[in-house]
Amino acid sequence: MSKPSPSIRRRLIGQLLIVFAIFVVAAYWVTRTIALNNLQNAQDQALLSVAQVIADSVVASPGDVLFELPYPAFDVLSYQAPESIYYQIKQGSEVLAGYENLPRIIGDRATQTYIDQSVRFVQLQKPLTAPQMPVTITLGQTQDSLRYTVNSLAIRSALYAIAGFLLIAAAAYAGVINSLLPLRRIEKNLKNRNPEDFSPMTDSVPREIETLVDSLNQSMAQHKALLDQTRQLIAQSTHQIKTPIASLSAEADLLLDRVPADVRADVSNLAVHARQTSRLVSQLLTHASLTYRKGSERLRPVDVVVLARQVLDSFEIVAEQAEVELSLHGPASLVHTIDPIGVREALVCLVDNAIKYGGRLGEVSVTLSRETGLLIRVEDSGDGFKGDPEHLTQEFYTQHPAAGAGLGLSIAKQVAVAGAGHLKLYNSPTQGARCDFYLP
Amino acid sequence: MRFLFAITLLLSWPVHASEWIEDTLTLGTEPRIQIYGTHDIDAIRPVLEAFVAARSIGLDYVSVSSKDLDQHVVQPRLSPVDVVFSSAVDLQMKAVNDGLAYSFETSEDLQWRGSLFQISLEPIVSLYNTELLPWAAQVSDRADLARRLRERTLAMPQGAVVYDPNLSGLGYLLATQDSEQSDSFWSLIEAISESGISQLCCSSDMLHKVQTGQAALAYNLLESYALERVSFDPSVEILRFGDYQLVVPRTAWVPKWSTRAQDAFEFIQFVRTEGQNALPERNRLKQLSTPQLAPLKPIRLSPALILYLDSYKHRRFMRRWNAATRPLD
Repeated sequence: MSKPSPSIRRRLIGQLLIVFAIFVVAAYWVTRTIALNNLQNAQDQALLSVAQVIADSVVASPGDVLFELPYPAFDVLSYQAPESIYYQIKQGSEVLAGYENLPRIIGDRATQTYIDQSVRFVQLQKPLTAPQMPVTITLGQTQDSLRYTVNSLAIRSALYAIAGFLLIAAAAYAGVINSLLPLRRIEKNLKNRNPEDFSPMTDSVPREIETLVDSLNQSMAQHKALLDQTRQLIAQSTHQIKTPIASLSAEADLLLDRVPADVRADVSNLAVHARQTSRLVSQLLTHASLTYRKGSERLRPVDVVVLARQVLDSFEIVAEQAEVELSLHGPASLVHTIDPIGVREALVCLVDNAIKYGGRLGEVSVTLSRETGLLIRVEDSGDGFKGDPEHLTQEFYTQHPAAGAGLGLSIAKQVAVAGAGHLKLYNSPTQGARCDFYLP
Repeated sequence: MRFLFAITLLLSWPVHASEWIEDTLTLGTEPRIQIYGTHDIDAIRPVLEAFVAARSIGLDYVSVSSKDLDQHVVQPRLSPVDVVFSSAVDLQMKAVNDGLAYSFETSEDLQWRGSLFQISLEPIVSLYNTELLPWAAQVSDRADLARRLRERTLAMPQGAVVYDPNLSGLGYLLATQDSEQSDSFWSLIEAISESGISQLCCSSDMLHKVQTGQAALAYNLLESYALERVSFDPSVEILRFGDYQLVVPRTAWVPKWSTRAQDAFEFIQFVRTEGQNALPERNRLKQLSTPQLAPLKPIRLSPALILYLDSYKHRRFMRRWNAATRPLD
């Protein structure tokens, strides 16, 4: 499976956080800019109107300029905000009243630093009849409360943005969780499905994932068709191939007694090969049919003792020929929920192996016991495994190429693993090989 | 900056620095904060003692006139100075407006920009001689007095005394505030002038003239001084005009060059709160919210106060004043 890309939830949160930061900073700056503009305008208007009052009061008499410095107007300025006020009335380069060293103002308004503070200045010109120079009125006011207000407005706006955004984020988060629900449902449906169930999913799903469900259904249909074909093929092969090869082997054996002595060796070889082929085909087909058997027929409670007894009985003649003694140990009855066909095949393979490799005049014992699950132990009295026994469970691996195809232990392992159990091969501490077939 | 007192500063520069110091008081142990104030030591001593006892901070109190305070302490940035404490609210406002004061974080009332703090109040009253002006008790307000004098229905023998606004900073402040407050001020001054007006530098001279019958009325006096006289002299009586009663705030600020700004602020906070109990009741800040005989008109802490310190406005005001008080030829 490919490495999963970051979770939708995490990606959503990441993207939200970025948008969030942008949103809050924007709220702060927009509010700040708008508030500063508005309040700055209001301050400018207030200052300009006072400057205008002074300008309007300017009266020129020959050699003298008279004007008012209106106490109430200045008082009004200070009512609006407790700010310092600086003013200057100037004609040409002569300062008529007020502060001497105000900063130079270009235009009619400007923010300047004066006495280490940010001061807003406005400036008005009152033209007089020539040759009198015009009178310049400059009025400045500190901006502490304005800046304080602007800042607190901007901060409040950012806080509102944060609050609003948290709500939106919560809604978006809930939305994502909610819209992932159909996917969850599909996941659950697939997980709980019987392996043989290829029926299409009929849950109503959102349009966005309809295609996904359609593809899944289609894929399941294809899978079912393929599986059906394979099963059919195996069923046919079992019948069509097993029979001719079995008769081939039997006929080779019959032929052996009737051929002249000079070709007997060749026919004997033929008979051996035919037997091997017969066995190989039979094991291959067992393997295949175990793999593709319908799952629905698998599990049911079975008395394992009866099953094991039947298997051992089927080996009675073979064991007699090989002069091997078979024995079954364990309780009188042991009922366990298993796949009886699979377990029977596995046991057949294990016992077959044990008889084959246990050596003549040996013993093969099958012990049944219930631990946390079902344990079937098959032991022989031979020389044991050589090398790493785990290799033996791989398909077509055998320590005795002449004797078998190497599918036996592989089948046994397949059955164990399919039942969530395991097959352990090891040498017994006393003598011989030991196979522990375990099913939970 | 063309302000009046920069010029007088040069004219009256003392030979020895100590000449302008009226009196000093030392309380508590070193290191002591340096307080320069216009308050008489006798009047402020209970407050200072209460502070030293309550906060264990020693202090030196130097008593100075308001003009000397501006000329010798504020303008030359005398050091060490930790609190500047004065009733000349216009000069105080000017100093703070010009950025000489520390600014503290506070949102209390009766302060300006966390820099200039009201400490106490000085109500302004007039004093009259009961023999010369037996009818004064019936005067309702300034306009009424002006009308009575102008219509000559009643006479004011010996005329009146006022602060000379040229010589007295307080007199100038009161006269300018009066002129901004009411239109009847100028008609009152003109009416008084017709009966004869003397302009004096100091309250003691004004009180003396009324007590001895050389003047019938002393217009605009600190109530504290007036009450002192009334208490032992039955020949004088306080006159409160019903239209309004000016109240001069005593204010304090901490110079930016102070090295003990926190202790200085502590002092200011103390005087504004617990220290109020050591003040006579009429001088306490809470009087502003207590009903009075006449509507109080406290001089608000406003940068508009600096306008009358402008030599241009001063010149124009004095021109008007001189015209109003010119003796009749």
